[in-house]
Amino acid sequence: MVVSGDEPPTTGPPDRQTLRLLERRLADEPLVETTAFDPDAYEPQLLRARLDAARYPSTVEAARLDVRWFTSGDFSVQYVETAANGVRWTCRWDRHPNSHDPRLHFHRPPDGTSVEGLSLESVHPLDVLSTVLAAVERRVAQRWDAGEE
Amino acid sequence: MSDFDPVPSRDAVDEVRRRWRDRTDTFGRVYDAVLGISEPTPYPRIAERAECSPNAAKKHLDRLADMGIVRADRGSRPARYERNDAYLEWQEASRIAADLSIDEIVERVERFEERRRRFEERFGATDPTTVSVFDSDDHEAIHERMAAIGEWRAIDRDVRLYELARRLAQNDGHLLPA
Repeated sequence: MVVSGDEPPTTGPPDRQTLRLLERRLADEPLVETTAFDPDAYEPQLLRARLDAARYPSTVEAARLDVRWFTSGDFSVQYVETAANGVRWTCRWDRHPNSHDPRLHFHRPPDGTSVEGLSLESVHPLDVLSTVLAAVERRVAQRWDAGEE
Repeated sequence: MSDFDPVPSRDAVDEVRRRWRDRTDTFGRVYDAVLGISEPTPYPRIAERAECSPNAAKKHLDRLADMGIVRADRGSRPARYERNDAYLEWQEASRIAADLSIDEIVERVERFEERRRRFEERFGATDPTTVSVFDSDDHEAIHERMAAIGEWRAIDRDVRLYELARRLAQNDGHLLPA
């Protein structure tokens, strides 16, 4: 995104092609149960992937990834885990200009309120998705390792 | 449980990429890689994304360029490629024309126009590019605005896309009347 002095920084429309690419990739992943576009496939703004709860210990009720991608190259990938007791555990990989954090940053779990800079070798959508999936898989493994059933 | 790393080890990321490599042939990987590229990019770099040799990437990119899916800039050394958004927009319109009725298409355009009016009221502007998204101090507010402005900017584009879809639907899928 180019920001010149006389126009406010802004973001582009959703990037349909990238959302479709990521939908195909996610639909292929063993951890992913279903994928859907919101509001629908003819107007994709948000890509939702429901993860397979059967791969988690029973303490986890549901898990999902919400992906937004814009033609300006900005994105937001949110992971949300809901425990059987209703408590949410969430974090988010983000790229967007703003006034107080680096363009590329991460909202730390458990609630996403604390923000830190993020360093990625590549912001190609396939690389971003592989990084997120690897991180989520580690999270699943950690939950089992913590002795949960 | 709190030591969550947003960027796991290279090995962990490679394992995810390996699954993609095992399930997708070279042509499919070059196709996936270039669909995520919207600026002219030298083919050896696309080969890295697609995890294949530069020669194989170039061969498949040239074929994709023949199909219209990719734009080639062969005047550069090395040649550069990017996805062809003009072709992909036509593909989107074709999909809408094939799956939705003309009435549904018209109805959606009306909904877009209604949404546009609401955005213009909310932001007191008629042009989304004049509204700053990122000057708020509240990070969550930035996010909400980013999604809203993105949606607003999508309306102009979608109205044009659905107009094209309507034309295609009226001509039995063709751009030109028979």
